[in-house]
Amino acid sequence: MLCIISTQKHLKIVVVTAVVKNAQVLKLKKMPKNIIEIKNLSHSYGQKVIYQNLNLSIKEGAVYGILGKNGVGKSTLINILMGYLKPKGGECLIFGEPSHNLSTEVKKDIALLHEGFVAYDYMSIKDYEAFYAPFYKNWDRSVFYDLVDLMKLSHDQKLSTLSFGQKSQVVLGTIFAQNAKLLILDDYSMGLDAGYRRLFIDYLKDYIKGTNKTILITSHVMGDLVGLIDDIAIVQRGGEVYQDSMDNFIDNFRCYNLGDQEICETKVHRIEEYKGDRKLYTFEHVDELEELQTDFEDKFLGFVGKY
Amino acid sequence: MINSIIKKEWLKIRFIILTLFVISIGILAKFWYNLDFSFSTVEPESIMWYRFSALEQKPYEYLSYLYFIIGLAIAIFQFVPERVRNRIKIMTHLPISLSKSLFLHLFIGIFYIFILSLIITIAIGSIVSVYYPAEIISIAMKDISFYFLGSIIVYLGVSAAIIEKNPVVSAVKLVIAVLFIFVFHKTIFTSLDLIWVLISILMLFVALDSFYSIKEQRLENLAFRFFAFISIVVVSYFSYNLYLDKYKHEFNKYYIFYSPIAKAFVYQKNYGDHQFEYGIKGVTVFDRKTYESYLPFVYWRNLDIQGKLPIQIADESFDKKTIKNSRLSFSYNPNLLKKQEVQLYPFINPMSKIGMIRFPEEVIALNKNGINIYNFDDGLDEELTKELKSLLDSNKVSFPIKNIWGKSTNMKPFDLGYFFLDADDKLFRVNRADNKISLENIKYPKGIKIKFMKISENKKRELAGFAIDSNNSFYIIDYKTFEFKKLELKNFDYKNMKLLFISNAKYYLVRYTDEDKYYGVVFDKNFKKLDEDIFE
Repeated sequence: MLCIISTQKHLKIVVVTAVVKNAQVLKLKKMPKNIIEIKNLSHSYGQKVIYQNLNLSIKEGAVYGILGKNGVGKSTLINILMGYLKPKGGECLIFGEPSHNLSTEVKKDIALLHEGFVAYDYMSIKDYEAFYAPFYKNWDRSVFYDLVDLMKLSHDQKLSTLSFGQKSQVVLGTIFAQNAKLLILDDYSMGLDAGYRRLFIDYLKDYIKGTNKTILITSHVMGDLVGLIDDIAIVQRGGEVYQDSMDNFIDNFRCYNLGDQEICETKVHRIEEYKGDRKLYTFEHVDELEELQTDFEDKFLGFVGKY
Repeated sequence: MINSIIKKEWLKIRFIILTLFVISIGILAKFWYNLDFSFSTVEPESIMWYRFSALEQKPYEYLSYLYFIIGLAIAIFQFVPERVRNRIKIMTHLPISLSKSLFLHLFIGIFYIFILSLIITIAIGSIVSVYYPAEIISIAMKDISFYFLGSIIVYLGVSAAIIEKNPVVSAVKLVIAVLFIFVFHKTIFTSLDLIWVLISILMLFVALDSFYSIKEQRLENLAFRFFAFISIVVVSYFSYNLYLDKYKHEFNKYYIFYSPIAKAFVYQKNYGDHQFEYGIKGVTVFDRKTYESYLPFVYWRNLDIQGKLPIQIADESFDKKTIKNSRLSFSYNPNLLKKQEVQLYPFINPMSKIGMIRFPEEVIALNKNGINIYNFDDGLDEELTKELKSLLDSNKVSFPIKNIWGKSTNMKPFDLGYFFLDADDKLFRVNRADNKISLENIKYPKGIKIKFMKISENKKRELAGFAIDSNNSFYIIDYKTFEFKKLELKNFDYKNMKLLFISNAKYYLVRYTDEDKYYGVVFDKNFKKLDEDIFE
């Protein structure tokens, strides 16, 4: 058997040529490639460890959620991935290139939502669209205006005069209009009310349907993400990162009413006590306890703790 | 892409550009008003030209700050909004190389600075040209071009500091930019200052280094680091020297005189803080009273008040009038070697039957191929220029003029005119009196190269000043014959030493110093050396 690994710009194809007696069969198999690879990443702020030997891969077409409470380092990871922070150790690759030194071509394939919907507030909506358009060959202005027009705003209105929610839609419009292969959405939910969050999630689901776009999303609002995210990494204080598929996590992480009972420590992920009620959160089946119905947000909070 | 960035920058800084434009127009209007007021009230107008050429009072000099403000304001308004909420990240993530993106932004800023500067420059040039001759206008244009360069230095330095992510590095870059401006800003710019063009180019890369810092990178180019290091060292050195020059405390360790009574040098040694020692070197020290008693020609007023004049020294008697009339001093320091930036000199014209010397309407202007005479009303005074040209031709004066010396003021008892060296090292004296121009070839010792002359029109009418040649020889110039009389001054170095020539009733004393060694040499009235000493 002969294996030839050919690396093209953004496409890694493993060609396996099998030589079979009296017959030659060529098998071509296209594997989902890693769009983002994080290897042995370590980072800290002084004594505060944010990440320790984190390894993480995000495959093409995946919708990946980096989840965690405020201040655990979600945006730090995005900043490291985009080269705005130098990690203390390890490396990050995006489309195979070191994240701190991305080529212009790769940057065209990454639509990045900066935390806080940072934008040029002195521009009008029209100016803002016109500013971005020439940088991206796949720019789709109809996508931009579809989203913006949902708010029924004048295109001549300055971003500085918009509400935060309205501005967020304009910024997201530029993200979607880029038609990029990878979307990195850093804390899209920050400052948005439920309406704008729902609008965004619905639009995003619709936007990626039938495409092979890869999405990396960070958020601390969990409820919106069910049905959107395939895989998750839950970042906890101290640098621990739990990685799983969303479905596995929802299926296997359970909540039980513990009452007064004692339980073997090996079965405990977290015990939560509130006004005399005791709840057990665990990945184990505990048949003798009553399982409580929980949604993803409950499970997430059970996993990371409320405080 | 380029148009996108150009439009983005315009939207961002258009208000400050328009504001700066309006401010500039206001300041220029005030400048014009002030200049017009000065010319309309000064009598004659050529005093303004004299102030410019001799006193280095450039009426537009304060406008250099307008250029600096333009550079500063555009840097702030262009890049502070980028740093607020880290908007600069947007720039760094655009699919365009970091260097291209940053240089585009900087060139846009420089373009607007250029446009504003051009408008101001044209306005200043137009205003100045109404009042000043071509020689001064060209100097003004040169200065203003450097002001523009200054605004670029401010712009690039401040931009680099604003863009820089690391606060410590940002502060260092800002301090260096301030030092650059401190060294750069001056009254007279020379061709050496063109080095600032190279430094400006270097500063483009300093700003690029700042931009890279947003993405945790640095400009690693060795040449950049080398030149940046060299620039910092050189500018720090010049900053330090400028600081010393500006705040230098004049300190004379020794005051040396020659006592006609002790027949020896007596000194006053200065320890600072008003602490002194008086004495005769190697012989004795004494109190101040004794010291003063040894120097009757220095403290003659005290003797006069005490009724001790005339004073008898050996077999000679010196009365008040003799002592007073014999007093004369010429001073020299290496700063006097600096040539005037504009070779424009008031053409004094004493009117013997009218009164004291008045400041003239006319100035003589040296240029490469001749000498022009200007007056305010007509510009070029064709008649006088022609008259002078005729004299220059008949005396076979060759151009360009190498150097010119004279006392360009009317605050003197009479006028000796100007002494100038032509291209063939012939020395001439040109002067005007009673509306008549004279040109005279002055003989001086063969084989010497005159480096400096000081002309002194003093009532004593014995000595007309002094000259120094390239071999550090010192010559006293006779008033009547303009003969050069050489004085032997050991180790005199005209490039590094100050000198004082003092005449009293009995001697000529010359003292000179490099502020390390203090020399004293005394001559009799026939310039015969009597004694000399060195104090360290």
